[in-house]
Amino acid sequence: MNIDDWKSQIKRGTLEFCILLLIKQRPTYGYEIISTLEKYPIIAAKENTIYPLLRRLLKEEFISSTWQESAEGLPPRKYYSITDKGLKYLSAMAVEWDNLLHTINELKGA
Amino acid sequence: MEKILNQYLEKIETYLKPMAASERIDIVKEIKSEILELQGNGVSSEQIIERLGNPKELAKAYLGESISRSTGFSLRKLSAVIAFYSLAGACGMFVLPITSICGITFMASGILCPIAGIIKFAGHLIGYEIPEITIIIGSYTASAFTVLPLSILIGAILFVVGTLFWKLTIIMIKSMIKSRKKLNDNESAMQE
Repeated sequence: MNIDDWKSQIKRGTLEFCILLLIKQRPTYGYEIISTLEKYPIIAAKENTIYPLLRRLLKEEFISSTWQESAEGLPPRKYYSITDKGLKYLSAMAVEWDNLLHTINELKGA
Repeated sequence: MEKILNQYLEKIETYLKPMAASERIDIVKEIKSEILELQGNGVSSEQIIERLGNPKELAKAYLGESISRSTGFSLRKLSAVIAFYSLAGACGMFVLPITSICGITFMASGILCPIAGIIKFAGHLIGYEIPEITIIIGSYTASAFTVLPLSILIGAILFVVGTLFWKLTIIMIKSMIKSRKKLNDNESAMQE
């Protein structure tokens, strides 16, 4: 029984959803996203997964970005915020997510 | 910033050469920003480099993500594919060059073939016979009139075959990214 394989498939399938949910809460930058995800092992992912994924979401115009040359001592940060297209995509994902949870609950025979 | 960190960023920049300059600069700037954040939290340079991983792998992740977005063809994408297989080890050294080169060659032949057919046909109309352009299948030689439809048909077949080879290349790159992700996941699971 290899539960890790299955867990990594779940991670791969839901990371995009999780990142969009995070960015929807408020504009945020890469390091903050990675640190937040780190708190939840089931969706924790490394830089070489998150940054290319963010770039793809940008290309598909689900998110937008602005550089902020921030105050003293802090590095410049690239902030991501969600676009209208991203919001639509996110709500479509939320519908499917509820659908999945509902299905699983039913299958569990609750 | 320390020398090893600068060297790390330079390596990333080199590996990302096939991307548009503006995009490459932006990627490097963002990774640099991440490094500064980590430094601000007291993470040592060695730990930062360990965390970000092999610069080759990081660059490959960016290239792979931009290649696998669609199976469409463009010159920019071709250079990304070539860069990816130069970073991708054994499969990249043999299989990907063969499939991607077959893809491009077949697609180009698919375009050239009907052009030759049109030239032959146009030549025939104005009274020039062009013996260099002809279609011979076994003992059958096409006449100036049948060359045109035949060349279009053959061109279309070649183009489709080329497109299939190209899609195969992209699919293989996608599966290589997936297996790499799996490896990464396993590694991080072991670290925990």
